[in-house]
Amino acid sequence: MWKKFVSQTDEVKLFGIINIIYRWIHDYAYSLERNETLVDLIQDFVEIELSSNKFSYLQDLANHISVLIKERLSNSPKLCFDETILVGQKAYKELTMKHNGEFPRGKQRREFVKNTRQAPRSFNPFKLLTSKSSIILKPEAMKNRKSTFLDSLKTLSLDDCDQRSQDIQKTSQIKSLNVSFSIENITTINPVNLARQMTLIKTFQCLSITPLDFYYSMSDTEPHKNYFKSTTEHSEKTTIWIAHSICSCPDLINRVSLLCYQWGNMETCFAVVAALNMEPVKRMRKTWNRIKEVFMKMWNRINSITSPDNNFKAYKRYTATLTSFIQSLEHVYNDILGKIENEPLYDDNGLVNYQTLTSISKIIQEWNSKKLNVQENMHFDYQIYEYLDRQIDQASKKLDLEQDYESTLLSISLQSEPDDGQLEKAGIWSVKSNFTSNFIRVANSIGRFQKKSSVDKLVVSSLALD
Amino acid sequence: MEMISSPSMLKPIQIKLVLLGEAAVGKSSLVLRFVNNDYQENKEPTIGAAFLTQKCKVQDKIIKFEIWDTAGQERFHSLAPMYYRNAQAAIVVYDITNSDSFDRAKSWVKELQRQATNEIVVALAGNKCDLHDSRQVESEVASSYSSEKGLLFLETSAKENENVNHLFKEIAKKLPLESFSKKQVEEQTQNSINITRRQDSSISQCSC
Repeated sequence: MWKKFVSQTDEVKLFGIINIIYRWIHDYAYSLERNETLVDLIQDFVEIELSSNKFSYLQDLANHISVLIKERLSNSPKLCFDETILVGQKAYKELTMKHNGEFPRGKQRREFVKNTRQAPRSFNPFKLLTSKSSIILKPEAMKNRKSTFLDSLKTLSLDDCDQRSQDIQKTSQIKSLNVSFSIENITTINPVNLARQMTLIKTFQCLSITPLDFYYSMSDTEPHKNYFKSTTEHSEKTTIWIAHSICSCPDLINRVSLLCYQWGNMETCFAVVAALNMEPVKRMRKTWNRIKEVFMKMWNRINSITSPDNNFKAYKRYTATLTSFIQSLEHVYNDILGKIENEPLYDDNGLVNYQTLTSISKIIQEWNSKKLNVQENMHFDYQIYEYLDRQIDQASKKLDLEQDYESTLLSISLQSEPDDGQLEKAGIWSVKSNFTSNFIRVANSIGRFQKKSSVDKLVVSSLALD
Repeated sequence: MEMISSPSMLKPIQIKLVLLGEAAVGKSSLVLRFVNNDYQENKEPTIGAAFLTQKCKVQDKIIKFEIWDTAGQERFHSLAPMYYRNAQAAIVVYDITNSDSFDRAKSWVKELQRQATNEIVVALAGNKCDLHDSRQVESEVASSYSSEKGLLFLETSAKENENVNHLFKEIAKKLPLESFSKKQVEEQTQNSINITRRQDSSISQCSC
């Protein structure tokens, strides 16, 4: 009798546990993406503990969960795109070669993840280097191969990739061969291509961000790699790099910002605008005066769209016309913080305020629903990516984000374009150039936009002039 | 200072005010305490939760404070100039129980004095003054620093509603409202002239 009771209690307990695991995987699969150890533990529990128990229906459920994990992980549209992947890619290949083409499990895998700060799946060049649409096609290929969870960690053969990714994969091998790149200076890159690559990078980064990242970015404890944080840090670094580039070499960035904006990459657009509005850049009047009027018109337009005046009225009006775009993460973050500050997450009795949670989830949902996907005509250029990666990293190392980097930028700016007597008299920080007055006029006239078609014409004319 | 909750016939003078300071010093609490009842009007499902407005009457003029609560600027430092550019007033907040926040406030003051407009009115607010026992920044130290830099200085408590309205009132008093008023009228006139001219030109085009 007692044995029967214990047996029935165990059954209920196990059923409860399985149900929780199932719900979790079903609803929050993205959290598995970040924690390899957790995936291992669940896999072990489901495959070893549950599959061997005496209740057949629990075994079936366990198998179902196992299949679900495989599907969710292989179906995941999230792309991880940062420098750690590129470093890890090589290490991943070496390790799999050592183990007869299979990626090791257990301690070795955990060490690998710890050292490279990435899940091994992310090193799959197919996942890394192809568009989202290509990845959606992938699970079918996986099913045909009757792959196991471990198989999905393997690097796919070239047959599984489309032509574009083959090309990219070939290009990616150049890195491991240490072939030097031809890009010496930012001015040697076509502005269209530069803007395209910046948009692609930002698209990949934004696709990696999950709702949990927003949550963890606001809490002190960040248990896993936070893609929201890394994306915003990248934007900050980009701003510094752009300002540094302009201070040390002539124009070009202007057109890049316009193209980013035209492609809906508002995050990079804001980073560019912030850089161009930095005092060390703004003070370079001679440089600005050399810019053609047509570009100045574009610049004014971009500047007006990113202006915070009237609660970002211009930005809101413009983005309302777009079906998908990369929203400025700063806005999303500020909105969430604003909601929490106005209506705290917990009331005085420590109870959760569901109204606030609903408001926050609406903000995240809106951001998520408008996320930009990789556009068909955009091809990944590894050379430019590598160049940008190197340059942005170097600039942020030279100009420590925590320190007073503007002073350093100012000295570079002064070297590039020495101050005249008039400026010295007036004091460098109080100079109001013609350029500044342009900003003020633009700020006053926000809301009065040209039609999009005429902006497109401007873009075309700028490209023709290039 | 009298708060205005109903529409008034007087045209308000718009003042862009930005709140700066380290995280968790109570910037949002200060501004929320100031706008309190008007907050409902500012609720928006889309972007702009960090933007709040409050109208108030100072002497015979109505001021509309357009307040930017830069809560996320710790993470987005390079975007901060976007907010304080063209701002007429700024409140740099520190926490009297945290000396690091006072150092950070100093760096914000330095940045504002370098980069913001010359006419900007900067106020230094030592928040959480109800927590006397945990005080790390002496009032005299902050006061002498403010005098040296030409800042308004007040210790506030958003929790106890101490000196919050007074802070905004002092800012309003120090603002050159006459010149702002004239400037805004001039700009409006200029805009209306431009519109009239446009309309005229469109009429002439049509008649052709």
